[in-house]
Amino acid sequence: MEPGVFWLTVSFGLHIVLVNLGVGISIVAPLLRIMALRRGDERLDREAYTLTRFYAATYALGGVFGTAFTVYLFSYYPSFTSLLGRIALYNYALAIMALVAHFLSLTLFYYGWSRLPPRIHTASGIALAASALLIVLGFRSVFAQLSSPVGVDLATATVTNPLEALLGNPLLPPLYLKSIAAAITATLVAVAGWHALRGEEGLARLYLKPALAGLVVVLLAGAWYGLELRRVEYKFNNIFGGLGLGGEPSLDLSWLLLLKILLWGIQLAGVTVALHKGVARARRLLAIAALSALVAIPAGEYLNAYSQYPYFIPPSEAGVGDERLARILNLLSPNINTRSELLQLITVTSTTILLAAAALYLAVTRAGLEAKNRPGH
Amino acid sequence: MELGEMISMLIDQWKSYPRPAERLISAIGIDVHWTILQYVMGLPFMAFIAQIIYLKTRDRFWLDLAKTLVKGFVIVFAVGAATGTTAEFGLILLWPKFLEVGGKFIFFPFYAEIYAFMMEVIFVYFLYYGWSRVGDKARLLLTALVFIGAWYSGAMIMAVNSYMVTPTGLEPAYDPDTGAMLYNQGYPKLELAIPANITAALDAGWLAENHVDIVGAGDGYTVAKVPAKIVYRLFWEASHNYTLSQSILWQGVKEEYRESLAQVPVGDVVDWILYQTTSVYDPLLYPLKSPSWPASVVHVTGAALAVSGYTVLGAYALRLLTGTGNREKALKALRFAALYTLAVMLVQGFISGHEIGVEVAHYNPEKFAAMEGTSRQIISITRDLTGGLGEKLAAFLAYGSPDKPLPNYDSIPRDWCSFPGAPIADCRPPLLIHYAYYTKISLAMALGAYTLALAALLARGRIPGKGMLAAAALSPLVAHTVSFLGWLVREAGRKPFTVYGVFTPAEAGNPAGPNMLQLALVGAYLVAMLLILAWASYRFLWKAGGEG
Repeated sequence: MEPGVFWLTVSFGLHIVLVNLGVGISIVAPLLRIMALRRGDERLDREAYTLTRFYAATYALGGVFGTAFTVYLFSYYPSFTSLLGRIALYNYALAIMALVAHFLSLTLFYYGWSRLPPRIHTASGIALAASALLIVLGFRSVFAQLSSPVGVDLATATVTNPLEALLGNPLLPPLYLKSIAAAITATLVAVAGWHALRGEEGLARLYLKPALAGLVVVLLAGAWYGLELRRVEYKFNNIFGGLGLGGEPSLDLSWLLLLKILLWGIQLAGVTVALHKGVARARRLLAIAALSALVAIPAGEYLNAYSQYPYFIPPSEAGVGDERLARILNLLSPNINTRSELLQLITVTSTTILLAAAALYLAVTRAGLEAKNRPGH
Repeated sequence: MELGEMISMLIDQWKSYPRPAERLISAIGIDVHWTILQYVMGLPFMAFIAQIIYLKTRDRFWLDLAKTLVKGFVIVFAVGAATGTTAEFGLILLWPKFLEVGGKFIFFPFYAEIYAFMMEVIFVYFLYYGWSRVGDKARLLLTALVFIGAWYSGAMIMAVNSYMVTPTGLEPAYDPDTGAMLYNQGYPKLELAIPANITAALDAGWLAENHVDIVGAGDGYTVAKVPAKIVYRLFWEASHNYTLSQSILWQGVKEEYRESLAQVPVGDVVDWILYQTTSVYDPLLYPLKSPSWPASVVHVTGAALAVSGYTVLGAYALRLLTGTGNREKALKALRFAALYTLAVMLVQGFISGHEIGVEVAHYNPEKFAAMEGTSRQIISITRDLTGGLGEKLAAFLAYGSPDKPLPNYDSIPRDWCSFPGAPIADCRPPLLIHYAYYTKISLAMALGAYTLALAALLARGRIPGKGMLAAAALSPLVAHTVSFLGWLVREAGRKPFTVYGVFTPAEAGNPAGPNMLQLALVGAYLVAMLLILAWASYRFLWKAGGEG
């Protein structure tokens, strides 16, 4: 495997798991907080705070892997990064402006607990959720554009129709819905499993019904996305071709699709059994479901990204025969200055040491989950 | 020239360089990030010193002070990470062509910086969330890892920036011993390794006529000192998708090569030369060999340490002025901050500031001329307001002799880098930086003198009066202004270039970038976010601290 592809895969995988949990918490925690305030429920308030504290303790870790991904992209594929900056100008602009608001609202929501007046605090929670939704919209619109660009001219690397490039991609609605639903559902299942493991049955039960609904939405949105993908033959064949549903795949990834369906099934089984037989009797199954939820995140992302391998944009969608552009869009043509053994040694060593340090950090601090009292309590 | 006319001329000159709106929005974005970054570089270092004192004295005050400092930078670090991401994407969106060239040839500092960022993220949160879960020595180690990560990060970013200011292999166009301007000899020049097949296709007479000096050779390449004017022109041609038959090089291509080379893109030729050059220098270390890198790293790190010191000084002075919190503790913290800041300012003023000045004078004579205001078009502080003494002092500091001449701004050809079709009307840096530079120097000297007086007062066990405390409370703003002006001089002083002598914002930018309104909205948005951050810091640090 190309070193660039390998490091992009590693950093993206780590980034996307933490980001999905972050998006889920950004929506779930403010909802819990609002419910807690309305009902005067101390237990819900503590739960919302614990989740927020976990997010505050880990979000920068997710962010740093995202930055690593961007830096690897720019180092190994500088010409593609330049092209992307030009054709996804408005998509990235939306995402990064939302990102700034997200960080600020997280700061206010977390540090302002019991310090800010409830209305302002609730508003910061809503801003947290809204900015998370906008970040996902921005980045997902980039993914949709990479699958099948619209509103841009690749040959001149220009945006011809900003609105269409930002929101007009037909792949965007199902991809966006699926992404949001999957992030929330994975978070709900993971948190339910975590509570089940700790014997906190009441708290685990809190998440089960929403998780079940989420799993149904994920299935429907996934099917919708699959249907829309028929317009991108290259991707569709790589995902479904091995199952006899499309043409001959260039890279058969149907096994990854089956794995994803299996992981979804485990989550469904865990949640359903826990709902019917009680959390205590389904503790192990729920824990396995939580693990499946976490594994399903990178599985789904890799399936979507690798289905156009080795291209950043499938050749049929790029629609040009330009040799230089074809080289830019090919993952197998990296920057030749990165073909240095020393660079790989530095990357392996630094990544290993820092991942070990990150693991130690999560172990020692328990990722902030051993919650201190909330400010003011 | 009247003052009004002069101001108008200065602004027009600044605006005349390509892409003023994008430059302004980038400046806002990066400066917002830098405003925050200074605390990430400085506060952990102060917390580290406080913990060392705690380990020696076992006085609980020092541990509490360290914890307050840590809390301070954890809050700003989160937003710093956000603004850093904004700056990063700003580069991709506004300057994609710069990123493409940077990614190919000077990517390594960015690449290495990611590990610095990981270090910061892991150890900042490890320190904060693990504060009471680890022992004193482990906490000290974690604090050290935090500031080392931040300094390492700063050093890598400065490697890229130093390369932009002083590209590796740069030979300047001014000889201070004779006062001669060397533009008519093709200077400034860049030392490049040119693949042998390219030099073989070029006529030696044409190369000599165009001041391309062949100075060596290696396995498959020729080492040449190439005029920046030619390098810049080739980049400009590459950005316009020229082929060799349309290029300036075409005049030098030998007859027998013409047919086969006519349709070769200039962009490919530029890539081959730069890949060969980076390969000879070292593909990874090429930008780190910029001659201005070491002094720049020390000076910029020092600026961050100073701003952090003044902020702590200002915060505790404000506590004493308003009577909030514990007075005795505030006084002790004030004394610590004053002594720390004094030490930093001494290094900044007498060592790193001097070194960076010497580098600028040597490698960037155009910028030096603008900084010292050696033009007759403006009222020069160096010349007109000091009776010439300022020029002699500047020459002494820069060249070691008061008798050596400063480069005369008006003698630098306006068009030394230009050619027909180039987007540059004036190849000289903006004279505006003369005033920015002297405002910066004056404020820095005033800060230094004030800090010396305050530290002397506190060292003698005396309590500063209200005036002194009010000045301390204002000092963070002044320190930020000094730091900002330093960057303004550094960045604007490189204009019209993005990478000195190589390419300008016209070639670095996004040909289909955002319009003025969109840029203005983004700028306003970033400023609003900074104001919310300031409010959050006040609410959660200042008020919470006072209550506690």
